[in-house]
Amino acid sequence: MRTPVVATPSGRLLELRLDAAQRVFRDEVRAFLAAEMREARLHCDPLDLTGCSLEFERAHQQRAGARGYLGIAVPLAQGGGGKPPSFRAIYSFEAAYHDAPSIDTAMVLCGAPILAYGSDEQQARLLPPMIRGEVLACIAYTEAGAGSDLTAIETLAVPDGDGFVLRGQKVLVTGAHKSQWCITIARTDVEARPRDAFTMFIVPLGATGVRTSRRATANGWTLSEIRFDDVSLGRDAVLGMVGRGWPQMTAALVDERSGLAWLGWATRLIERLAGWAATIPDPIRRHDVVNAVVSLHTDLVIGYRLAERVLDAQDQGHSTGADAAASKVWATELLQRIARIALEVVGVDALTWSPVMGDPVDQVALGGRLAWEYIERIHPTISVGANELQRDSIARAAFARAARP
Amino acid sequence: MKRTRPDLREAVEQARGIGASGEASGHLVRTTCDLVLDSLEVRDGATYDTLVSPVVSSRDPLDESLLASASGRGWLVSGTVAHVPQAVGASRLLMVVRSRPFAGRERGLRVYSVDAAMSGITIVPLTSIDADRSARIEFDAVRIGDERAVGPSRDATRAVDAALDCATIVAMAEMVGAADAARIAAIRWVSERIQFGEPLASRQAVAHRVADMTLACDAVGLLIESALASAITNGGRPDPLLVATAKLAANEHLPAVTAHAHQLHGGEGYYADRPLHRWHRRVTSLAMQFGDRPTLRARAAGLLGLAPAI
Repeated sequence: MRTPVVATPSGRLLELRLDAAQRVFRDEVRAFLAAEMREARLHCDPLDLTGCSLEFERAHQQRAGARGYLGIAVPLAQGGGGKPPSFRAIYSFEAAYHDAPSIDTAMVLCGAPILAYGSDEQQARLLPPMIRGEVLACIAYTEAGAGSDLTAIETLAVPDGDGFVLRGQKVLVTGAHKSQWCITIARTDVEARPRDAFTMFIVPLGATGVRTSRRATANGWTLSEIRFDDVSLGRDAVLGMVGRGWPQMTAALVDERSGLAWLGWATRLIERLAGWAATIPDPIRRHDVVNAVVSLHTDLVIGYRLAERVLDAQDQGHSTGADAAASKVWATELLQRIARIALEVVGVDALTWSPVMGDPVDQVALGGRLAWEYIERIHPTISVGANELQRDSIARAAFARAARP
Repeated sequence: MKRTRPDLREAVEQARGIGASGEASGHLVRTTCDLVLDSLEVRDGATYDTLVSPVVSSRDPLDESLLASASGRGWLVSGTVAHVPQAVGASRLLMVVRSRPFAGRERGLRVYSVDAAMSGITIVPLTSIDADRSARIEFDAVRIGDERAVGPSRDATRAVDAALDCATIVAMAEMVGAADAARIAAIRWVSERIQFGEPLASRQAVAHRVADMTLACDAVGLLIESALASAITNGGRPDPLLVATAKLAANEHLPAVTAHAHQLHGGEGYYADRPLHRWHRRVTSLAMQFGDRPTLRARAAGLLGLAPAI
């Protein structure tokens, strides 16, 4: 069962290109998530980014973890499923498609730096509960004065005996209020150039001197702010090497950008619009909507092809740089286009904000979801590297390629 | 001489190169004729200068702007094909004509081989924005006997449709070849052109336009590749939805690339001795052939199950 709003009675939408093993995995995940989300409307919480209650999110992530989905791409030696990175991306696509609260898992947010830089002790302690879905965690890099330019970070970690004392404030953190710990970055050398000045830390959010607060976003759910007031950290809180925080973080950020969650949402929305188009009685209005759906479908397929290029490179262990930037720009701007066009074609019903996760039962409910969507899709073009920075990177690669004889 | 089966991947690579060169070429028309003949399993070695069919641009098998009516042991063909590339100076025409319904004869698309000098055929050269030697061809009750039929005497709609889908892939390759060449020329220009003491490329507005041009060429290239892959794995019959989707993307995004290239080149790029306008013309011209946007949207809507199939 995919969706009760049947997209196309006689036709089909194009799909992601998957190999046989990927398709088997996709179908299994799809069945799991459809069953998981059948009763989701009973567990709504618009104050949470996932749209679902914390109890439901935890229970759902544990069920996903028990099936091995959350650590599917973690190497076998580290207790994961040992599958290529594309499997993680396929799960992400399906979770977004189904509105399931297992997109921003501890593994998705914090897995890459821990796998790459965590000590044996840290990996043995942190990875098993992440893989089993038993822990929520967050990343706290951004500061009021340091968004895209993380060299401006002012949070300080002052050496103190064998450890450090952490002092500063982090903003725009996803889900700190419900997390057990965070990964953060602080300046450990006030003299050094940025490459050598920062260090990454794993900080328990229950530690003395840590205070988290929630701040409402434009769409009703909350982001968190974290204050570190002279938090004492042992040497074992350091993630990776002292002074190597900046290159470590840059590498880890690049890792999570195949953009498959964005395309999962986009796919579901286009299917819903297509299903809705078929019910419009007025032929001129229907024609208009059908044309819009066809154009959005074309752009969706472009999104698939750009993402597949990134997944193929990741599976082969290649770096994805400008290709990942292209995929991110395309998918996030497509989501905004879908939301804008959907609002226009659905009309005033789409002005009534109603963030119901799962399948809308009628046009009013679809409209309510689209209103939420319209406000929600403001931020993906900003987060995980603003699209201006992504375009800088696409352009740099294009200039470099053209300069080669 | 036996006609060999056209190698679609090779044709696509040639088309990309031709697009990039900006030179006028009959490659696409010749390849399209080859693909139509191949789809009809005609391997007699005959060659044609051009393909005369309203269906090439409208992609609508019900298009009746050129109609064959049964008459005795043959057909009377009347109508006008508004735009036929490589028609000026052509001597042999491959024609795809819709036949009127008629008792005892199958309706649908029929394919004929005719001499351009036949009485009743008028070739009117056009001053096209593309240097493709195009003409309007008028047929005034041209009598065509059954002996001129090409391929088996049954409705050729399915065969012609698949052949035109393959030809569309070749056309898109030429478009992306042209757009990409314009993009690279623009990148070189803005890297060297100094204004206000620095290269134009150092400005983010310029760099971001280059990023969008690059993204567009990449995206269309990937869609062409997947349409081509579907043709190769499916015995020369590409997935029609992949082809329509790719052509929609090409029509939507590539004319903007060549237009951006003009903008980045400034006034210097508008001179006729500069190559930019040739790429811009070719991309625009091919966007109107093998399905323009309204045609393709209707076609894709049918395949997506959102409208009656055409």
